[in-house]
Amino acid sequence: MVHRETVIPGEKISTKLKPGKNTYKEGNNIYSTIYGFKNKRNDTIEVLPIKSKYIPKKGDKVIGIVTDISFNNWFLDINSPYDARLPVSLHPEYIESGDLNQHIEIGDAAIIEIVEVDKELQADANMDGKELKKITQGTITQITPTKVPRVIGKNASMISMLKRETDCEIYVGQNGRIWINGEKQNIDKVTKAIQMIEKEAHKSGLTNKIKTYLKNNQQQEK
Amino acid sequence: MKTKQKPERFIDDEGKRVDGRNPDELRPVHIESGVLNRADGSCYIELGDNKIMAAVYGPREVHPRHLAEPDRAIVRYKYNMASFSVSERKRPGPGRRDKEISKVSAEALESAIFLEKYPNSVIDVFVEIIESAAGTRATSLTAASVACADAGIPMKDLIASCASGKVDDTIVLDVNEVEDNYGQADLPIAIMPKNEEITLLQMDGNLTRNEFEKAIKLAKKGCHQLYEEQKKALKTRYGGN
Repeated sequence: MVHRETVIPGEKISTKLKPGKNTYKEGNNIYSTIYGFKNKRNDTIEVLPIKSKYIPKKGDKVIGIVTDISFNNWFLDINSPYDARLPVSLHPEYIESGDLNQHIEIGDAAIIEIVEVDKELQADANMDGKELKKITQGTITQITPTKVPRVIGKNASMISMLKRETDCEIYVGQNGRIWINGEKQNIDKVTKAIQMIEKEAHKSGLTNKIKTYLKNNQQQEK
Repeated sequence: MKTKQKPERFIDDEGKRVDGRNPDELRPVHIESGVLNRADGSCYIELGDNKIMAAVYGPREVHPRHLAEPDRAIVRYKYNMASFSVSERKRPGPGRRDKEISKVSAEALESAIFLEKYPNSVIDVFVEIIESAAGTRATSLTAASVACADAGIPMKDLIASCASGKVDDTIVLDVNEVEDNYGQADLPIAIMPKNEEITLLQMDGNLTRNEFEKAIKLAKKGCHQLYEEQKKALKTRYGGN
């Protein structure tokens, strides 16, 4: 990670390049729309947000928490201004309409996949597929969705290191919710590490730093 | 604290104002962003004796639901003065003045935000006046826009806002308490500094056409100075450059 320049909304960031994510064009100039880091990608200029709300996108796998149940749908909060609707037909098992709360109750969490998002950003979800399931144990922690790539790392380096060092099962949802399962001590360690990643996401050499942190922790316990 | 009396002259022989400023000078300003942990975005501002905290939540689900707009986000802005923020205790709760300021400020802020990106949602802005010393509506807006940026809300530009006024027939920038209470005019204005689009303009008192032009020009100048401070507050948080 190189040091990136912080830009603010309305700041001129380029005149020659193509406008990318979180930018707008006015005349010949390109301006940032958000508070974030300037990033040049080939001939495009984009801005990477520092904080953001999760906006449902087709194909994302997210962790939702059931807030409401209707006759044949579950409604899940996905850490976003918008709910996700999970129809009973997309649950892996066959369920009679009206028996929904016997399988997933209000307050339960599940890993789901967004299959469709309409104009009003209402998301339709699916729970029938690989990795998708109701969560029955472990802990869920939350970070700002923009930091998700940082927690996963290049070629999943950060996440596999976390799994290796702490012996936990970790699932990172695109919406910034992270499910951690393992021994209680280890869960606490991962949670702390993830908080560290979120705080220092804009710095480089993070994977090693976290690794050292986890190793030191283990020695203290012995 | 006693209520300040009307001075005999607002501008002395050396052209200095009651607090020693030049007519075209802002009060000392300090802006800090991201000061609250619970809010999505926040900002604390001091301008002279004004102390103001702004917090932004959102975009989030709209409750009550009938207020939601299917094609865009709505902005709810709450300007609230603490009862101890003024020399004579203010009765808590929104009065006529607070409601008016909340409304015009919400509209001023709306013009900078890309509302269509978040249909059916709300952006809640809460502004708490902790200490008030003239120019709170403008200063609040300056803080609110920094808080919105801090919350990661997409905007065309920040909004910088300050007031100019008239005392002893002289146009002055950023009126203080005495000038506001006993002066001849007060003109708060908010702009998007990039192309100087005006998003809020109010006035009380009397100005001639020439004075008005001059006051607008001066207020814009003040807004640009505030904009530099806003920029600094946001940019220095992540290592700066």
